[in-house]
Amino acid sequence: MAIYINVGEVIEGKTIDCTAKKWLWKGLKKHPITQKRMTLYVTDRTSSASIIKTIDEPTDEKLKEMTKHFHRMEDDKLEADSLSVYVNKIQQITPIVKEGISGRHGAQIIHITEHTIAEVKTPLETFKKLLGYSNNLITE
Amino acid sequence: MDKLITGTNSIQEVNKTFSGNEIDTVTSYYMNGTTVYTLKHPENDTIFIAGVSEGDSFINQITGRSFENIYNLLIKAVNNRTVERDYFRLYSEFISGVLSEKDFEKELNEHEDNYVIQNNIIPTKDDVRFALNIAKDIKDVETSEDLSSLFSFNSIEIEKLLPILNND
Repeated sequence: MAIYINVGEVIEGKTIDCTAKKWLWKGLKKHPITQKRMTLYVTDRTSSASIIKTIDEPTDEKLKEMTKHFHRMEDDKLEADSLSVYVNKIQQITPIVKEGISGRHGAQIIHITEHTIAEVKTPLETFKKLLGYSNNLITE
Repeated sequence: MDKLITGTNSIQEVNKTFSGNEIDTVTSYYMNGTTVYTLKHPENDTIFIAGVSEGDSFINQITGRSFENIYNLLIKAVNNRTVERDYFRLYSEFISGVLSEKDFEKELNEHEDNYVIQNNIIPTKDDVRFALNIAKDIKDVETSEDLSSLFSFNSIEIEKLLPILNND
């Protein structure tokens, strides 16, 4: 079991639990590595995803090589401000809102029982800064 | 000389007039990576151009290559938003019972390109910089996944380039 916080870290599992302040459904998208058709969700602020049930490594040698950096151990966990969560389920997953999980505001709990690949993404604030939206922009 | 527009706020135009001299008007254009000064001959339509360009920036703009890139990205964005809309339309038909699960999956399998956002274009640093510039004016681009979905850029490749662009 390990906790990963860096951008680009990936976990893959058969059952994954997530928590997030925001859980947004983004529709169907090909996964950038596996090119498998999956439903994409993104999280915003104080997010985590951990493996509850593990999944085997792919048998295809090429895919195995491409996904060798994926973490697949039980309890491996991602913690970040922003996560991408690709789920192999068409039906939209509705989170449960639970108070007192994270700070003053309620967190969303998402229990996913299908093949899931989650990745740490660039924090929203950094992305907004690149778009020129951040309040922290240094102006001359 | 017409204004060359490559993105919101990417141009500042400064007019300087030197009256009483042989020089009529000097105009400075500040575009992405390019500073150009134009000087109009007072007695005919001839315009002299001098300036400094970062890489091929100026050449790309006067030959229209920059516009071609913008055009291609915008067309891709419109088409990908249409793909998203069509998927949500299909999904709502499925959820409301208009389509059975079997018919829903059959439609998805037979016309996947109409409903599924591709994630396969490997962007260059310039592509992502260009896309970020355009994305400022497009609604609901809030994450790197949104940027990827808009232009079909591979989201992992975007993630690799964002820190580099952030440090530029």
